[in-house]
Amino acid sequence: MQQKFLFCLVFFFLSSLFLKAQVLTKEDSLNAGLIAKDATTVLSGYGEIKYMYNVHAEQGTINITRNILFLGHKFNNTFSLFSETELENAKVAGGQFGGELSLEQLFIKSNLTRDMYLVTGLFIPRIGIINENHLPTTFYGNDRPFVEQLVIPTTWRELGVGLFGQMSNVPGLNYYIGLTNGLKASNFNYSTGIKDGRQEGSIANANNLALSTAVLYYIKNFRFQASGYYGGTSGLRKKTADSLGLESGLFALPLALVEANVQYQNNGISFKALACIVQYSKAQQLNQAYGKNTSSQLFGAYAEIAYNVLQLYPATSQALSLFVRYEQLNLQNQLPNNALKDDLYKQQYFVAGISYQPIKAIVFKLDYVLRNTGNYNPALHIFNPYEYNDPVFVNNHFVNLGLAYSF
Amino acid sequence: MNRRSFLKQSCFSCANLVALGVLPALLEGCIALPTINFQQAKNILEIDKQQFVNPKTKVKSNVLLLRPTWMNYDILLVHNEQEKTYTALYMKCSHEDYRLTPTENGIFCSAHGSAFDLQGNVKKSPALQALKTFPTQIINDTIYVQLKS
Repeated sequence: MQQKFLFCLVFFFLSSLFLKAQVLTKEDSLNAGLIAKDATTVLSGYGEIKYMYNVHAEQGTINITRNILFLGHKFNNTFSLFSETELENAKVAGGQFGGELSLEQLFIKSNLTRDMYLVTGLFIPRIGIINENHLPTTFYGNDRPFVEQLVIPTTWRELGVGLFGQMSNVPGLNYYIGLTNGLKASNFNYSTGIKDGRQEGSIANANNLALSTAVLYYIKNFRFQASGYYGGTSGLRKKTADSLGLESGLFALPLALVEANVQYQNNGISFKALACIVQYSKAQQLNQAYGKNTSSQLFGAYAEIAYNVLQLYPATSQALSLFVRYEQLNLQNQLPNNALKDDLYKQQYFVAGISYQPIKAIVFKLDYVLRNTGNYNPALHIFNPYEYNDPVFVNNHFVNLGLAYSF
Repeated sequence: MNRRSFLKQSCFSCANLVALGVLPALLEGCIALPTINFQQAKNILEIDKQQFVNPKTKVKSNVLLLRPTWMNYDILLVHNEQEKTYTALYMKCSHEDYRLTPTENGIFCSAHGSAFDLQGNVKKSPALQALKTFPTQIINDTIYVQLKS
């Protein structure tokens, strides 16, 4: 009996050693000094869960908005791989309205000099604030600013190359210039601005190109940024374009975007403001060819101020921030002659709320959103049943409660 | 006033404001940080206190950028005048290893928006951890930054 017990003990001990050897990851090996330090693999991520109560519709919704897994690998001091895989709305079920599984970024970063690097692959151009800095622990409110969802379609990523750098002779000055595939105009939907034209690296039409550029400057407690985008949206070969009466070529049916923003942070007070205009001069041609209702200009701007109350207690690393934000946008700021006006997309938002961060990596959010829209155009919308549909209410209110993390 | 002339006049006014007032103030900061390049690999960097003085402007800075060519990132040497100490901060973002943008007022990551104070503490996420520091020692007028313990 005793022998059996000893045998079992030895077997268990050896098995546990074997199992331990099986689960030794590359990172463990790295920490143990078993592999060269040049190559390292990093795993991180972020996510957010939101409960929303639509006051007029008397409807509550709870959802895992997104969960993102970041996987990075440093090959050597010059080359690194960055990838982010995103699952939206918790699941992807075939044939049902539901989630989305997508790559948010996948690029190789090549350090060219100490002050300059190149990214090649699926990357996020430096346009707006949230597009690059979209971790939910870094912005106030459960929703990203609506201007940066509807006018600047975050997270906006395309395939191409981007050069990022900083000027060593002007401290705080950074620059970016990128060349990517353009948007796909045939997918534009006037109710979502240019968002549906993004190709996001998925069998993207590469017959057109887009140039984007940005200048970013840090001085004292301010951060100033201006960016621009100019790209073709046709994406058609010449024969098809001719048959539709559209232009073809790398920058055919060009779309231009100009954006500027400023941020301030000091002593617990933070402020940010952004304005963006999208110009699409060939909207009329597009509407004629595809029977769309695309507008020729979109506009959006917002300003936000926040204060971390716990700044008054320097001993704590927790944060309890109060914020207010005002946003104004119009997805139909200018229309071509062949488009119908729909003031439903002329919107104002007033958002106020509170964020509590027990640690920097976790945030609990509570906010109230007042949305004001113009009257919808009955020629463009049919509601059945009428009284439960959001667009019917010119003023609507939402109460949101959420949780977000990043690591 | 129609929309076009309103926009023209607004833009003209803004441009004037920038040219007359805001721009010179902003460009005050456009002086390169004093920088020292180190070519030969060594474990301890020796820095003379006088090197905090910008050779072009003759103005003393509170920061000095050290560029050891054999290392992947710069080191920002910060002089805390009140405490008479020096802090050597590695310019590698603790979030995703991007190179940081050092200034005389703070340190910033242009890639994801993290911000750090001149002691290396996180002022703004997504970075969660403070910057890596190197031990420093002051003997007479020389500051020693120890790269390897």
